[in-house]
Amino acid sequence: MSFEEDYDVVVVGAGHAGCEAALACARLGLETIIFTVSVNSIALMPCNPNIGGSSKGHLVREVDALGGEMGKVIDRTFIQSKMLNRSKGPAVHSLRAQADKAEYSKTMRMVLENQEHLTIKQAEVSELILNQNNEIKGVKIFTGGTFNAKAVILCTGTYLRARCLCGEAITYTGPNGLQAANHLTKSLEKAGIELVRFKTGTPARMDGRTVDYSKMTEQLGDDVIVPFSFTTDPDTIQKDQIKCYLTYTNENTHKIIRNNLDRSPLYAGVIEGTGPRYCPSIEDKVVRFADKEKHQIFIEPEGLSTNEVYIGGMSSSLPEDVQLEMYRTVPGLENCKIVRNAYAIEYDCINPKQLYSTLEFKNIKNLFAAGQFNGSSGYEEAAAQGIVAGINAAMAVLDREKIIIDRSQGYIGVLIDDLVTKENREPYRMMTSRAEYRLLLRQDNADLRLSYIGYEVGLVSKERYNKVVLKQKLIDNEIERLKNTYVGSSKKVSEFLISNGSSELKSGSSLYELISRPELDYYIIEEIDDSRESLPADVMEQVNINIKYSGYIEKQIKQVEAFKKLENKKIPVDIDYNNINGLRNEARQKLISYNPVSIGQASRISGVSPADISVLLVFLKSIGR
Amino acid sequence: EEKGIDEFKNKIKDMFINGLVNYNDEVIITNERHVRLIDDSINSINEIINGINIGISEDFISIDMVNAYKNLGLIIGESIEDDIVDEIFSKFCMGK
Repeated sequence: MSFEEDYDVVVVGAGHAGCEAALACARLGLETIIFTVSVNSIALMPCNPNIGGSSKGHLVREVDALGGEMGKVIDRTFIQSKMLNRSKGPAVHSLRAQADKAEYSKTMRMVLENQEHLTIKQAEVSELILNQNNEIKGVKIFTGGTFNAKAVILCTGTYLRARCLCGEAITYTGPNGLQAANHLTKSLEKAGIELVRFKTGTPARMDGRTVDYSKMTEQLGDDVIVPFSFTTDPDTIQKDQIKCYLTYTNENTHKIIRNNLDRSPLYAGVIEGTGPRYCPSIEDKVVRFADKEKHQIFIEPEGLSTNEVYIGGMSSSLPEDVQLEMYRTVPGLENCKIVRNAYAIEYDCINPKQLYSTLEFKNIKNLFAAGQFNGSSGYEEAAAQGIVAGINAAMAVLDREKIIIDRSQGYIGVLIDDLVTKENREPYRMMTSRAEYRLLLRQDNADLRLSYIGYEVGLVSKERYNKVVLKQKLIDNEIERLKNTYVGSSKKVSEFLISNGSSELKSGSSLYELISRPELDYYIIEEIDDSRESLPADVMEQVNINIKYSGYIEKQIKQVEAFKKLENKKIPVDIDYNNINGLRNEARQKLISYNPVSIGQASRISGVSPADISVLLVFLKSIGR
Repeated sequence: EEKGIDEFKNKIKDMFINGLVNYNDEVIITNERHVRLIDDSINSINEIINGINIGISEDFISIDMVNAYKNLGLIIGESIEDDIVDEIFSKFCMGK
């Protein structure tokens, strides 16, 4: 006899997407249940032991600004922290933290366990329940139970019909030997969902006692640690940090790999799925970049309670014996012992063009999807989708307006728009080059950009939101003061300017104008700024950036205005592309297939040219839009 | 009305014979909208050159490059603006 329970929201999967989604729904007061094949593996980091990095750090900050959890958990469980790209412009400053994997997972799990309105259940979801109108009604689990729900969020990651390949050895498991989820795929296909097969890989883990660090270069964390979450007081997180190490492959390594390519499932045609272009295995790198004499390898500890180290940059699906041979050619790893073999994993996921920008399925009402199930890769990409899907599932249940973050508002917007609008033939990885408005979408201003959404939705408290409003006010006021504070050509000012390599003043100038000079900035100007009062460090940082880059910021704001105009030109839902003359056939097919909601989105579909857009604009005009 | 066409033609003939019409290697832009877009592109390109000379980060220079590219694209139909339809059709009559 099976049983039945009622919930508001069901979340399938408790990885980084599932955790954010479930917490968002529960925190908005909805009775939420989250399913996982392994409670011990909640928020597991199955690959690299770090959070953040270039563009990914931006996503973590944005998730935090919306009221999400990842930033808070990494602030509590990091073992090394570094701000990357400090020497370059603020648009690409990125925070990256090494995590104690076990602590991260445990900490996030405790957050879920103690969350009101949230139930955790270890079970495999095997079936979707739909009504005759193709609306989601709940799920069934393998052991027979039925869970009715008003909304369901699929966050199955890399577990659907997963199999792991280590050379010729194939095991039908999810990552890290965990149970795969083999039943749901059939139900998804029956519901009309189109699935594809992707692959990704992970490197070996070594026994740290067998690694000779003296042959490698030390990689240290920052002296002053910067937190991820806007809610973390920096003073509370300064601590001792572990070291990482840098070493390189060499021609011997590459020779072994080349000699054994026929034993690599990727090259022997055994792996079906398409792999990530920007996260290639070492086999991929050696073949694709044949001229490169050496590849960077980062040795990263996996946690404080283990000796295991992660071999970053050397993921592989080569057989066990080849792995040992190739790893041992790397300086420092000559006597290494492998604790866990490298392997490739294949899994079912969807083509995300089946989703709206709200992450709801176009053809199945109240069914949402987030994470690697959508064809992305990375913990941060998963968390970003998770919180948006969670918020929107909650909005659907509460009959409120869903949120859409667009390309000009955040990296989350770029991520989601890329997933649902572009052709994704391989796992999608976020990079700064994907964002058009990088100068505006900095990691240092994520709170100013997105907190209001978190507040309106209900995930960010009024108290926290007021702090953000105050911060913006302090910034605006200070910039105003600098615009209206003038200095003349006094002796003090002249000496100051000369000593800083700047030209003297012929007449009076505002402090704002002086700060704009390339050789000066807000901090240096303090010497001649008599009316300055002390301000928080993050406020000063924003004042400095806004003044120094005001010219380019203005230009980018104008670009955003043009972008918004096309985004706001909506395409009628009932449009029939077959009846529009002047479209090229390829464009017509693509428009029918993707069903864009706006001219802006249509223009980003590959195969739709500017000429086709002009045709659409004329058409819209002719029907009075 | 067709008045003065013959005089007009003769005047052009005179100018041509007297070497007052340069037709060799000039690109003639007949469209006021194109002139404006080209001027904007030149401004952006000058900013790019300036930016490179003073050594600012590529992220800033790329903003000017996008602007230059977009403005040139609006001439040859590679870029779109929301009001491009209004722009073009306001300049000539479509008829019914």
